[in-house]
Formats: sequence, structure tokens, C-alpha cells
Amino acid sequence: MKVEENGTAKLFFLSSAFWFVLGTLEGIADATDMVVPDLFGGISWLVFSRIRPMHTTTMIFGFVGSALLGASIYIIAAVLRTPLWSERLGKVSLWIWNISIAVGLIALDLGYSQGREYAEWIWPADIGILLAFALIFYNCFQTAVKRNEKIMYVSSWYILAGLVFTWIIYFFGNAVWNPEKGAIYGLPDGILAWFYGHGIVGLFLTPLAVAVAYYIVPRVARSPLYSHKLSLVGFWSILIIYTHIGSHHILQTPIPTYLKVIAISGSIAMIIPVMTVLVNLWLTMRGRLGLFHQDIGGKFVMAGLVWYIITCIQGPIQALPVVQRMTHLNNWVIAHSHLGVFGFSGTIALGGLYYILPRITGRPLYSTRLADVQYWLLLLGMAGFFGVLTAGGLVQGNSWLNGETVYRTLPMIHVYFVLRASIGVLFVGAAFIGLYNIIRSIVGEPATESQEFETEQAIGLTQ
Amino acid sequence: MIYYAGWLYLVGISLIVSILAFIWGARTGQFSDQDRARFFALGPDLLSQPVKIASRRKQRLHNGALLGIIMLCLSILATALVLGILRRAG
Ligand code: HEM
Ligand code: HEM
Repeated sequence: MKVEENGTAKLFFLSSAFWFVLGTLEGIADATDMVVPDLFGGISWLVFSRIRPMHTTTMIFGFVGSALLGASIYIIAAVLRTPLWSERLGKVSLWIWNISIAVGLIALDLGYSQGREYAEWIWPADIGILLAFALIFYNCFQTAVKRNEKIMYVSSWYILAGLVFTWIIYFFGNAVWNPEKGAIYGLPDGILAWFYGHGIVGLFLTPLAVAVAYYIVPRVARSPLYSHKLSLVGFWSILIIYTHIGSHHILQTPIPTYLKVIAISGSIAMIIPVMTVLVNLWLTMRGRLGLFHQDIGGKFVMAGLVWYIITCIQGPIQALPVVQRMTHLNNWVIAHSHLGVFGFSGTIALGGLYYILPRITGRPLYSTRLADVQYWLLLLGMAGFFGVLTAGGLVQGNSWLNGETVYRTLPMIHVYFVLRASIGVLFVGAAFIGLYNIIRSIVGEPATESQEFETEQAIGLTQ
Repeated sequence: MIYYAGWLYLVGISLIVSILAFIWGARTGQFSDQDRARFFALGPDLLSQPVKIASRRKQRLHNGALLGIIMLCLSILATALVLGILRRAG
């Protein structure tokens, strides 16, 4: 196994680009299926129910997860002023990670599923994922133990905590002590499943994405973080609040009222950790936005933070029962999912990738212009997804409240499904562009791109 | 209540892990010298490198796009909130 400095992070980025392509193809297959349900003529490995969990897990773990893990491994070493404890162990964990994802996906396509959202992968894949998380944590932890900088920067807190919590929720959420089913029983299983489902976005994707933003924003702005103290307040409050609000996903089931009250009030309290991050980063970048528009990594991170604002305004609102009567179990939530998982964490993951990759390879990206095209495709695509799915969701919600039947509602939302599939093409294109650019940046000769931004000026820091 | 004890254990474990980490942090001086910590993301030589800023046209375009998105999304969310409340009243 070739061991090189930052080789683990580089391969995590490459893996992410590959999974992104696969994930968008799965997404577009499902979206097409909803427009023309007979298209695949009952081919078993293309049915909606198999491709859907493949799409969600490919995106969460394969695309966003891999890029965030790669960036985190690079960042923790950088901010602790210490090389990664073991690149060899890093590569081993990378392969276990990728093979487990592949096993989980192939099994799903063959019809083997644990049947719980985001926890569909079968037991052997679960064990692999847990092992990979444990090894990555151990590697980061040892790096922290050997650190040359006594005080841990906020990103390292987020990364270490994210890894510990993800391991815990993944272990319990997949009920790995119960390999046959990967579940427990009855309503407690629903509560457990959403402790997990919520945790996987809130305690895996969110902390790692925030860690990346806390690293990249000050660097692109060339300015110290506005307040490290405030960033730690945000960190400790998210740890205290996030773990117990998962029940806001199942408010309309007969779970005990006290769980609902905790979930709803916790959802609203989430405004505190979210605002600490956004205010802190905004005050760091204020007056220096020109630097962000110019840096492709910074640009992705900035857009990701904009999506974060919207996700976290939407989140507490849709946790209110009065709103959920209209929004629950329809495309409104699908809009929120894409907003959170792609808009916020996926976009920041791409920002981390584009910012860090050239610093690993030691040469510029193969093409900043291609990355820019990808950026605009994804920005437009995300805005389109959000608008279309939210509108479709409101139509569904309204029909639901009016007591409309499903067969009368389906034609009403057909147009939104067609639009979703069409917008999906932007994502597919963007994913392929990204894969090509990243492969060429890693293996190819750097392009001698003509100066792209002729009008831009070099400035000194004092300006 | 006992029926849901599993969930309480999980929240308990999470809180205990967090509190232990917090105590460790406080004991090892992680919350001191916060002014220096603000600079940790910046590498030793980053500040001396020249930087590029985008042209005004590009800045306007990008800021406009992001602001447009925020406004669009917020108006959608406001509509949902109002609809939700009106439907409840009706
Ligand atoms: C302030 C923060 C947030 C709050 C209060 C919040 C609240 C909620 C609520 C109440 C639901 C359930 C909606 C329903 O089923 O009716 C939900 C679903 C969801 N949220 Fe969030 N959210 C927040 C942030 C995020 C973030 C940052 C992400 C992604 C990284 C995210 C990803 C998701 C996903 C994927 C679902 C769909 C789960 C499913 O039903 O399959 N959320 N959120
Ligand atoms: C080609 C672009 C994409 C298309 C066409 C697409 C399509 C879909 C479809 C059809 C569903 C199932 C919706 C349902 O069950 O009603 C879905 C769910 C989902 N997708 Fe995508 N998607 C795309 C891109 C993405 C990206 C980039 C991400 C994240 C990085 C993502 C994350 C998710 C998640 C988390 C869900 C589960 C939503 C939930 O249960 O609440 N998708 N997507």
C-alpha cells in the first residue's frame, strides 16, 4: 500500500466524487420512476423500493460522508500542527469504508435490506462501517494526543465529537446485536430508528460540515475567527440539544407526550447552536466577501452556509405540530432533506474538497472553470429542487387535510415530479463534471489554463 | 415509561460522554487563551501570500443569486406557516 502525506484525504475525495455520480444516477432513476412508473417494466434491481435506499445511503455516506471524512482528516492534522498519526491506518479505514458501502449497496439492489430509513444496509456492511469509524476516530484521536498545539481549535472538537457520536448512534441505531433484523420491536424501535436517523444528519454530517466551515472561512477570509469562545458555546450546546430531538420525525405517532415536548422544544432551541455558527462565521467573513467569490472552495462553503440558514429556519418551523399537519409525509420533507443533506452539508463538503485538494497535490485544480460550472449547476439545481418539492408538498398536504383521495392527488403533483426529474439532470451533469475534474486534478498534468479572471486584481492583506 | 427506557439510556450515554469531555477540556486549559485560538485555522505563512478578489460584476452576480435564493426560500416558508395557521383556524 502506497503511503504518502495526505494520501488518505486525497482518496476519500476521489471516492466521494465517484459516489456522487452513482448517487445522482440512482436519484434520477427514482425520479423518473415516479414520473413514468412503468418505465423499467418491473426489472427487480431497478424498482423504486430498492433504488431509493441506495440513493439516500450513497449520498449520505458515499458522497457527503467520504468528502467530509477526507476533509476532517486533513483539517485535524492541520489545526493541531501535527501530521496524521498513521496514513497507513487511514488508507486501511478508507478501503474498509468503501468496501462496506459497496457491500451495503449491492445487497440492497439484490433485495436484502434492514428496512429502516438510512439504516437499510445489512449487518456485514454495518460492521464494516463501524470498524471504519472506529479506525478513523483512533487515528484522529492519536493525532490529537500527539498534537504540537496545546489548545484544540473548534474544528477538532467537532470532528472528534462527530466521530464518537456517529459510532454510538450507528451501533444502537442499526441494533447490531441483532444481526437478523437490525431492529428491536414495536414503537421503541421507531423511537430508536429516529434517534438514529436524526443523529446521522445531525451528529455525523452537521458537526463535520461545521468543522470544515470553521477551517475554511477564516482561511479564505485571511482573517482570524471572530470569536473562538462563541464557537465553543455553539459546540457544547449542539451536543447537549441534538441528541434527544429525533422524535420530531414521529410526532404523529402515539409516542409519549413528554418525548414530543422534548423534541419540539429542543428543535426550537437548536436556533442557539446554529446561530452561534452562522453569526461567528459571518462576522469573520464580513467585508471580505470578494475573496470568497474568487476562491472556488470558499464559494461552495459560502453557499453551503446560506443553505444552512434556510435549513435551520425551516427545521424548527416544521417541528411545530400546527405546521406538520400540512407538511409531514409529503414532498415538503423531501425538499428539506435535499436542502440539509446536499445544500448544507454536501455543498460544504465540496467546498472542503476543492479548497484542500490542490493543497494536497501541490498544484492547482485541473480546471477552476469546470468547478465553477459545477457550482452554478448545483446552486440552480438545489434552488429548483427546493421550490418544486416544497410547492408539490404543499399541494399534497392541502389535499390530505381536505380529505382528498390519493388517486385524485397524484395527477395534481405530476408536474412537480416532471420538474424534479428535469432539474435532476443538472445534478447528474454536475456530478460527472466533478468526477472528471477531480480525477484530472489528481492524476493528470495540471492544465495551463489561461488566466480566467483577467479583471481580478491581486491585493495585499491590508486592503 | 420503562417501555421507553432504552431511549433514556441513549440520551444518558450521550450526555455523560459530553460532560466527561467538558470536564477534561476545562481541566486541561482548553478554554483558556481563546484569543490565540482564533488564529489556528490560519497557517503560519498564509497571511503573507498575495490574494485575489473577484471583479465587481462577479461579486454582484453571486451576491444577487444567493440573496435571491434566501428571499425565495423564506417566502415559501412564510407561506407554509401562514397556510398552516389559517387551516387550523378554518
Ligand atoms: C435546526 C435544525 C433542524 C431542525 C429543527 C430540523 C427539523 C426537522 C424535522 C422536524 C423533520 C421532520 C419533518 C417531518 O417528517 O414532518 C426533519 C426531517 C429531516 N431533516 Fe431536519 N432539521 C434541522 C436541520 C437539518 C440538517 C442540518 C439536516 C442535514 C444535514 C437535516 C436533514 C433532515 C432530513 C434528511 C430529514 C428527513 C428525514 C426523513 O423523514 O427521511 N435537518 N428535520
Ligand atoms: C440527480 C439529482 C437527484 C434526484 C433526481 C433525487 C431524487 C430523489 C428521489 C426521487 C427521492 C425519493 C423521494 C421520495 O421518496 O418521495 C430522493 C430522496 C432523497 N435524496 Fe435525492 N435526488 C437527487 C440528489 C440528491 C443529493 C445530491 C442528495 C444529497 C447529497 C440527496 C439526498 C436524498 C435524501 C437524504 C433523500 C431522502 C429524503 C427523505 O426521506 O426525506 N439526493 N431523492
